[in-house]
Amino acid sequence: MSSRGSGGRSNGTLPQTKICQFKLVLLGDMAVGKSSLVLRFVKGQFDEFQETTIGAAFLAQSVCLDDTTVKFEIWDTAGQERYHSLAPMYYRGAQAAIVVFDITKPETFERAKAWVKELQRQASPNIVIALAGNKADLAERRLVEYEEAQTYAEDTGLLFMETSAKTAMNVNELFLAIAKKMPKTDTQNPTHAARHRGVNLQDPDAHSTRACCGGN
Amino acid sequence: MMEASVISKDTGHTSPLTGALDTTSIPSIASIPPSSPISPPSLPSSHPPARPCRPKPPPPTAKPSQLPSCPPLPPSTPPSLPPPLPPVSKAPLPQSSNPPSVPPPLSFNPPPPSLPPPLSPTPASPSPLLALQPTVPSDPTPSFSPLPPPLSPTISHSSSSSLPPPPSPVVPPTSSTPPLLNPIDQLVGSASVWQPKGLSQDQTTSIMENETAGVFLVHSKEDMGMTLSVRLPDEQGVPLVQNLMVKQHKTFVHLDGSYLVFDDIFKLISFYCVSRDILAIPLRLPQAITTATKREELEVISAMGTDFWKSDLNQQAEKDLIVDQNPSRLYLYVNPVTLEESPNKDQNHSSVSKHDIITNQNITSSLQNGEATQKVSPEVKGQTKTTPKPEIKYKRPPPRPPSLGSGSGMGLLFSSTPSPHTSSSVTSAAERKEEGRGGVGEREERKSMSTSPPPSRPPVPLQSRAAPPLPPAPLRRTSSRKSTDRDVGEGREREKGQNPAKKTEREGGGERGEEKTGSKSGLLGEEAEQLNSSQHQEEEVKKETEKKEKEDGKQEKDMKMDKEDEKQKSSSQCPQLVTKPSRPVPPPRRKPCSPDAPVCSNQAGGGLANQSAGTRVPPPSPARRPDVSLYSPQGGAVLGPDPDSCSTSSTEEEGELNQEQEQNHNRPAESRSPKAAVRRTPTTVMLGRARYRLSTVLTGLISHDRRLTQRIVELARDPLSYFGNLVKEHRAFTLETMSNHSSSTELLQEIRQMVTQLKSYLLQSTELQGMLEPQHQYAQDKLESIVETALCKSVLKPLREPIYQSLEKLRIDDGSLKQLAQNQAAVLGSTTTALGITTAVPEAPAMERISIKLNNLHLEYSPQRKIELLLKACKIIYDSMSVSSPGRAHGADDFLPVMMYVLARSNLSNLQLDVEYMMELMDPSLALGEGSYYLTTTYGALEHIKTFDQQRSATRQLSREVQDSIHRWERRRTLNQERMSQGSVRDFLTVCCPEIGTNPKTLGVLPTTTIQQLAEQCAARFEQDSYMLSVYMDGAHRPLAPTELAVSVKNSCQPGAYCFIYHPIDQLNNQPSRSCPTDPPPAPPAESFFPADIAVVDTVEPEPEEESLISL
Repeated sequence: MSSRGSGGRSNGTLPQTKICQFKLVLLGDMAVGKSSLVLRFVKGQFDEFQETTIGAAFLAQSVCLDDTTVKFEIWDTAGQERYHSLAPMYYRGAQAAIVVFDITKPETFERAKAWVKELQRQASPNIVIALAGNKADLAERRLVEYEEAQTYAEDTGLLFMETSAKTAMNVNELFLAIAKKMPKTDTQNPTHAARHRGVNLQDPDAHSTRACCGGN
Repeated sequence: MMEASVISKDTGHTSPLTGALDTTSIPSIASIPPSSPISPPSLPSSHPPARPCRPKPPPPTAKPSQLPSCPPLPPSTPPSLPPPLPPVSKAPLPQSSNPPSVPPPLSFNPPPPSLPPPLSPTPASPSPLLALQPTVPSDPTPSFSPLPPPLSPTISHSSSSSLPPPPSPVVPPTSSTPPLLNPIDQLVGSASVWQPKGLSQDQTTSIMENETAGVFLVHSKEDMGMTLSVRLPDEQGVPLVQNLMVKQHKTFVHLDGSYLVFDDIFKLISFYCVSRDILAIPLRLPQAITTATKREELEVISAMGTDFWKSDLNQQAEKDLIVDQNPSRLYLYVNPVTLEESPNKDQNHSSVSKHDIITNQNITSSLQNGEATQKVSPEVKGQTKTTPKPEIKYKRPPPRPPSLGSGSGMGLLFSSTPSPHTSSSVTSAAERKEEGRGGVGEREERKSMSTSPPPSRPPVPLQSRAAPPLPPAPLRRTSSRKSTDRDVGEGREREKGQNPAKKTEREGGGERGEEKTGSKSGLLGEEAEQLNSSQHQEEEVKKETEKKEKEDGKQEKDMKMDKEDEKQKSSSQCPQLVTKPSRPVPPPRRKPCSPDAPVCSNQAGGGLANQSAGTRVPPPSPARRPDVSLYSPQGGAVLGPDPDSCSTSSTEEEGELNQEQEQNHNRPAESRSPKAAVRRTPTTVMLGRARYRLSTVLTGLISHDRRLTQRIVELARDPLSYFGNLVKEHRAFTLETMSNHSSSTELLQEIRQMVTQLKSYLLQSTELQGMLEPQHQYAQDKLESIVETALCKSVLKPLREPIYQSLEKLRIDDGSLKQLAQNQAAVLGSTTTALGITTAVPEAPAMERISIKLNNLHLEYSPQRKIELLLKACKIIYDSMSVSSPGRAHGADDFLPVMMYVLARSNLSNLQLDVEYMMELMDPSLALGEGSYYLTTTYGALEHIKTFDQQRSATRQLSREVQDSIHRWERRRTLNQERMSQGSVRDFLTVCCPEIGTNPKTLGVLPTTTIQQLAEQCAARFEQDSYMLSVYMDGAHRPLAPTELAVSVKNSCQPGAYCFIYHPIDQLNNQPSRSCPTDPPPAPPAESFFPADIAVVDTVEPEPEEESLISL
């Protein structure tokens, strides 16, 4: 999984020409594993593509996608209801969002649906929303059926995957799927574009990783 | 001899200073030679060429003349300047010194060849010295421990300029400070001075006689090729000039007798400035050159040619040096063990070479001593012994490279005193002479200085002198090694190499060693052998003496210190002195306007060593001036402040660099004693060098950035420059209109736009282009960052207070602060559970630290810096949280509640204003990322507190406005960024009335503002109704139609090359075209009042600087 992330920082080691930077916001009830999910994703990537941050509330990670380096700035939000009102500050302007729920806790799924609704109403119109049913490793305690969530996602036009931050199941796939769905307009560092393309040592990686992810 | 003696006095005084300077600067140079590997062993076999680590591309400068150092200088037309610097007689330093007299006696050290009794040996000869050196308390011998106390004090004196004498000899040697002009630049720029054409031997001698030890000349003799003449420290009143042939081997040049080859004479010189190798002492450029921060200064000096030597510039520098060094002289003197050599010096090159060899041996011994001295004498001795073995392989006596470049000077002094001196001192002047000739003593000194804490060593020597007994014994041991001396020397070299500080030295030494071996085998082979043989003989004699010296080195040092102090200060002192002296000198030069930055660099450069010693402080004085002028309170921070303005990172880097440097310095000392073996390995040496070089490079880069930042700040302050005027107008405009804003966002946005526009203007202007150093290319984003930093300092710093006052007023008016205060109490009363906290919260100490960070954040004027501080505060929160669950990564679920907890205990009023300040004034082109997140979080937390429901449950729904605030903020940033990218100054126009350069006013315009509307503004502003607007560009006035858009007109003009004029309708100013500020880089747009003046100013600037330099 991790191998796939060959994203590069803006540093420019990447062979890719394009670098797209996106703000991705994490929403979901408290303790559904938002941070764990992202940490699993980030830690599964090559360190060289990570940006050191002071804490896990904000993480930056790049992944390579074909000829594009997608850099995610991942904004975590506090899931406590009392801080709900602050969420708009985080998701306004975000190009992507992952709404996380815990498959063992139906109430978190309901909350997730509320977030989706709010996002679709208030966030950027083009925001890419992914629904993640986390803690899939606890399938035996599942209280939210896959089909139920899958159906909801299809109805509302969301990406959906059941994930497990614990086992890393679908974690990278989820982020890659989002990356693929993002508009690839170069958002930054046009200068990097000038870099030579041919060097792609990483391209293979990207492909292979995709293959891995292909599981999806 | 007589002459020498006389001269010596003078030189002694002066030389030290200059020497110090050079040395400091040199360090960086030292790095240059990297090519030559340290590994001496391998080299020996191969001839110099083979070795040529440096063989690199540059063809040998074998032909000295060719090198015409001038190339760099050419640009300057400084010639005129020179005159200003009338040659002032360098008053020979009257100070102490009647050096000449004493030395001789000392020289005789019949010293028992028996090396073994290291310390004791010093015996007879030393005794006199000792008597002389009484200052040093007893302890003598144990160069290390005992000496230190006494010595250290003395050292401190000497190093007073530098610093830290006592404990850490290390410091002095350090080559920390980065010269603004790199050594090579200085060398090249001053080639006409040190490589004069057509100088006769007599002339050379006469020049040299009046210089301080280490000063050199390279002159060509018709058929002979180049000869390097080095002023040796005059001990015993014998002024010595060491003449060495600069030989060319294939494409490389090398000193006769050395196997170290260089691509050209500049590299050779730069290397020997750092590393003595076979020279008696390291070369030293006159202080005036090493402290030159600006090319113009060098040009002036260069233009003087040989007249420089008699100029005030040179003399003054020396004087400064002397003054500073006086205290330190003692140490310096110690080093100058070359008394014996003096006679030799007179001798031919061959003799020199012999000397060199000898010196090498001495050096090695000294090195050993030095090492030992630094730590524990006994250990040292042991080490030296051990080291010799490895060295033996190398055989070359010379191998050991000179001490590290930068620190070397200082280090040398110290070091020399320790080992060599002790022995030498004991042995007497004769020995000293030998050392001087051989340079061994000096080398040793240098080595010791560089490697380890020179101070400690020196002291030891002194003591030894006083109480010769102790140190001597060890030295003698070394002496016994005579045959092995070389080996030892190598070992020492290795040891030196081990020392981080000596990296350069190591390199040099290594290279030299290699080269030497190579040369010996090759070109020099025969000569070298001869020399060797002769040297051997001499060595034996010397060995005895040296042994004594080495063993007694410390004692000798003491002895020497006493004697030398007065007389020899020059050579050994040079390093120490240099550091101190350099400082004094620099300031004057710095005075010049632009000097600020340069000055800093100078300081840094000249003060490399100084820095290590803490010289930085001194340099600041000059630098500070500029800062002060900047008006920044912290102006003193010269370097520091500048960087700080915007980039914390820069300061931090500096700090890091310093630390590194310091560490390096320290390392040497440490390594010497304990880990000598490890250090010895070439690899370590290489690493050390690399590290040193890297740090030097980094430091250099930083200094470049700072300099540019400083220059921009100066420009912004210069009322005569267009840009300075623009800044002034914008500031005034901002202040005038600040109270008109109804919202903080609007207020801050306008300021941000102003900054952005100024930045945009500057980036396109010729004014900035004129400040860029040709040799230093910046990437566009880097340049923008530097400009941003400078603008923060120029604009935001002075506006910070008014801005905060306005913000506070706005916030008080809208009740936010009151609301915050009220709810803060509620939040404060909330339980951690109520806040949603599930982790540990910051304990008192952490809270205290956070509080400090936030307070600093509040006081900071740079948005970027504020954000950095905010992140640091957040980091502390994270750290506190992890106390209860180590290893766990905390996401927003955990962080935000704790953030709330922390904020409830902070000064919310300040933070509220700070957050706005940061958000709106932040450089829009900067990708915030993490900073944006935590800013948002802080902002959100504040809003949350503001609307905190007394019931503690949840906050009321945030207002739509607040909810969107971040988004809108981001959009604003994006918009600003786009504007920035367009690079045009849209919202402000400077209009002159009624003619170019007269009464300029800065007017705010909107993209939709028409000329008609602008004219109305002008009417109000200039209180002239019936005037009309026209724009002057391309040498012509163009009346503007009322319907034109002001911004469009402005954008249609080349930035900086136009001027809006509000004038009587019938008066079409036919202003002198010159006024139009067209593009001349220097002269900003005509808009400025005094276009002509500006141009003049630009050209004139150099002069003032020069003058200042001269005067100083």
